[in-house]
Amino acid sequence: MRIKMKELSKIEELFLLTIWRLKENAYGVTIRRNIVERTGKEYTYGTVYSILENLLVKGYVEKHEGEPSSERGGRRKLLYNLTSSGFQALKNAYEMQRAVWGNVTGNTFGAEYIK
Amino acid sequence: MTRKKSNIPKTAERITGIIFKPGINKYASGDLEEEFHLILKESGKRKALFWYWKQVLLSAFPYIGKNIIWNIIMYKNYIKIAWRNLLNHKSYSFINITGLTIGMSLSLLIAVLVMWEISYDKFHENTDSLYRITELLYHENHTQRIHQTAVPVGPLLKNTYPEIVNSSRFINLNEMLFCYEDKRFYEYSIAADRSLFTMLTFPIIEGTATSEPNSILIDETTAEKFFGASDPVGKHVTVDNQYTFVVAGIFEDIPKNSTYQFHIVLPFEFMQNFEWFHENNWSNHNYTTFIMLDEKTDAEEINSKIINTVNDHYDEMRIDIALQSFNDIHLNTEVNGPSAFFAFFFFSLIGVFILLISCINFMNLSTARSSYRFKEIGMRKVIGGTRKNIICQFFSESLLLSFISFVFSVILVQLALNAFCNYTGAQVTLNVTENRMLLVIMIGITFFSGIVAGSYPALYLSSFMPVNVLKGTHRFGKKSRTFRRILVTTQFAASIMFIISALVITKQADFLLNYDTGWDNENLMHIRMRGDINNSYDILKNELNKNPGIQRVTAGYYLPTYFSSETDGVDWQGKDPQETIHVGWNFVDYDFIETLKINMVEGRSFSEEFADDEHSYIINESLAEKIGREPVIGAGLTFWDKPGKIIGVAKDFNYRTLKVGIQPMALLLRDKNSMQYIIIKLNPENTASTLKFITNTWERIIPGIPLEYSFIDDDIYSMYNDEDILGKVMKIITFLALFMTCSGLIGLVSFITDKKQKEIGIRKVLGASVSGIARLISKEFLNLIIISNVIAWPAAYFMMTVMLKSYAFRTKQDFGTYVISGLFILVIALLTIGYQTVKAAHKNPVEALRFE
Repeated sequence: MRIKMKELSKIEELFLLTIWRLKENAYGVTIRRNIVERTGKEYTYGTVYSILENLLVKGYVEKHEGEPSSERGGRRKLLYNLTSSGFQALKNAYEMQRAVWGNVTGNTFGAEYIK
Repeated sequence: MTRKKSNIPKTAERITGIIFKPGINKYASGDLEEEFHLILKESGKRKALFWYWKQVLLSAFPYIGKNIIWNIIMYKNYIKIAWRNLLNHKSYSFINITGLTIGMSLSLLIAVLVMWEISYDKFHENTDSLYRITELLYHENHTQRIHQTAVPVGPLLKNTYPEIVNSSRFINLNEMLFCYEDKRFYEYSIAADRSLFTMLTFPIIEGTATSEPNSILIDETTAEKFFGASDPVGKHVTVDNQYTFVVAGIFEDIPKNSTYQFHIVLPFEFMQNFEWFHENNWSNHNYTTFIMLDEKTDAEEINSKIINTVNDHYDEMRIDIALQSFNDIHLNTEVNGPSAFFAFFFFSLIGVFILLISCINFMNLSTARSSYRFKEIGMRKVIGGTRKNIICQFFSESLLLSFISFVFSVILVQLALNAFCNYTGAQVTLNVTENRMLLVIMIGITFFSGIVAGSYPALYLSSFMPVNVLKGTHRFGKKSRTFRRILVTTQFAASIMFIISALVITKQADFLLNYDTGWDNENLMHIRMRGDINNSYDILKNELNKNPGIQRVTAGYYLPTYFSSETDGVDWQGKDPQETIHVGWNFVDYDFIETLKINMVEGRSFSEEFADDEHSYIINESLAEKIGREPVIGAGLTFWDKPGKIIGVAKDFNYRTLKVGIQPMALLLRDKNSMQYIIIKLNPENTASTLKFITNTWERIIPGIPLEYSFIDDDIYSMYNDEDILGKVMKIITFLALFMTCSGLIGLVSFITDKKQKEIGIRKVLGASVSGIARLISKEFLNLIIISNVIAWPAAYFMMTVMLKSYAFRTKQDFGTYVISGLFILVIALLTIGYQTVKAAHKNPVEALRFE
């Protein structure tokens, strides 16, 4: 029997999408910068890493060490990438999104949207 | 791989290492460093540093939160144990809670008072862009900052600098007689530009602040007083029986934490009724000027621009002007003198000290009881409790106690608040929904005392080795003894400082009240004279003089307690034209010198036998010295361009509060129309019937106007009320501080006698006397008290010297005060420890030694 996958929270969705988008370059700095730029909200590393740890526990992402660099004071990066179940969850979220919103776009809202 | 030189503060980096999980932290700090360098390149070092700290501190919150959740079960256990401990040792808990409650209540009260002081003038919506203009006067050899200006300064500034968006002037008119129908009251009034109401926040609740030249604005209380329930707007009132005004609007009563207080606002144009008023008068510095800056303008920049604006208008003297922010009108030392700020600072310091004393008290008591907890600590360690667990246990106990004390102290403060408000004149509540800062302070005080008080037992007792503790072979190290000694010394030092301060402040208050001012203030009564009353003065004086109960009657523009103004319009032959001398002055009637029994050094006083006394002056010794001529009697003196001659020199007497010194002064004879006060010297006998006579005479001669009189010694008392109250408050605080110190001491002594049981036993067996043993134990404390005196005396001396410096006339600090305070503490301490030591010395040595 397959356990029905739980729906992703908005934040989890945001993180998974960002990691997927960044491909091989998804680590702390890029993930945080990307999310801050897109949402306009401030996320601290404390929050970022606790969410990433959660995703790790749920099995949506996996991590591996990258190359050390001088900007990082000689420390290595911790790179993240989606697991197949992470990708599946992201896909489900997208389909859900599409099903709920249908063909509603900015234009559909008309004058009220522009306000 | 070389490491780039990093600009990241080490502490921040270390915190990063702690708050992130061990597996993550090196990557996270790498990330932080990388982005730090990015931001460094993009927007500079300051921004980058700010960003880094923000990241670190905000990241810490989820970490702390998580920890709390994980440990909640453990915490429940800590609190349960703490609660049981509290109930098991009721008397001990009682002493602890009492001490903490007293400490917290006092510091809470002080915090509330300090916040009240800070809140002054902050209720204006535009506080941040509002400024008062101050003038810096350059005298011959000193400078003086005054917070008033000449009339034209405000409009001139507004017209010259576009950054100044608005300006307003006002002048105090003091009390004026207002009449509406049959109601006549004296009300404190000002004349002000109407822009006052747009700049400052004095909300209009009815009508408008129109600029009609004959309209006035009144506050709610006054409106109620004159018009009761009917609508005041549009009603006509008479002012000083001469001018008629229309009530244009009502403003809300001015909050007590406003520096400026008034009930009625007349239009500034009203001043044109006075012949001495000119819009271009640069020499009369009686006007308070406010300006409002454009929001974007930097005050410093404007300050440097305007500094010389008014200097062109003065030939003889240099006057600089400056902005003073509304935020620091109340506590500014340069204008208000050091005393306001000193009291503020002094009280904050006392608040912290009191809290510290009660915390030390707690520490002493927990140390005293530590041996009861040995087994518990040992057991906890043996069954796997870490040191962290035990630290948490002790902290939760102290925090629990401080929370309980907090609840009690809030109740206590609430009960005392009313009396406290009456006492200090502050208007404060414990309403935390209105005052967020208060909530923060309350929580701060609770946690501070909980953590400081619990720190010693938590950190020290948790370090014991379980084996030693359980076997009973634990030895208290030298370090812990030194630490306990430091605590006791601190406590005593603070108590001694309190006692000294209380004594010195009380002494200064007594000194001020009983100071020989150079005139006789016994049985002096004064009656306020305004409006038409002056016309009846001569008749009144005649009638009053007939009564044998009245010694003399005179009048003056100012009361002898306070000649509030001084002038530089005095000239004499041979005066250095470069030099500006400020001369205090008073208009007086005949008999002024005689009524007040002022001693004359030379010459005569004003007398009706000499026809031209209208052009004569009596000066004081200080002015005579300035003039420096021999003989000074008969010398010419020009006062406000009116030439005259000096007929007498009075011995220097105090004509202002003792907070300021005696300066040059002159008395001018004027007729009844220049007088504000009738001054009457009564015979000490039958004052009641004399008073009745005065009232009857008054009603007969001036019917319909209320007689307003008071006695000068009452005035003097109220002048020094602050000092008196401060002295009393200090005594109460001192008493409470002593109480706490002593209760801590009891705990400590019982701890020491407990430890020394065997020593005492052996000594007794070998033949020591009870007194010898008592001396042995007390000796340690005697040394500590001597050390605390050595610490407290210089500190108290420094503080009291600063305080006394704010008075021109001050009592001397004598060594006796210090010695008495020290001895007092010594006696109190000996009495406190006496009982415990004697009890220990009386014990049967067998009890202590039988197990050996």
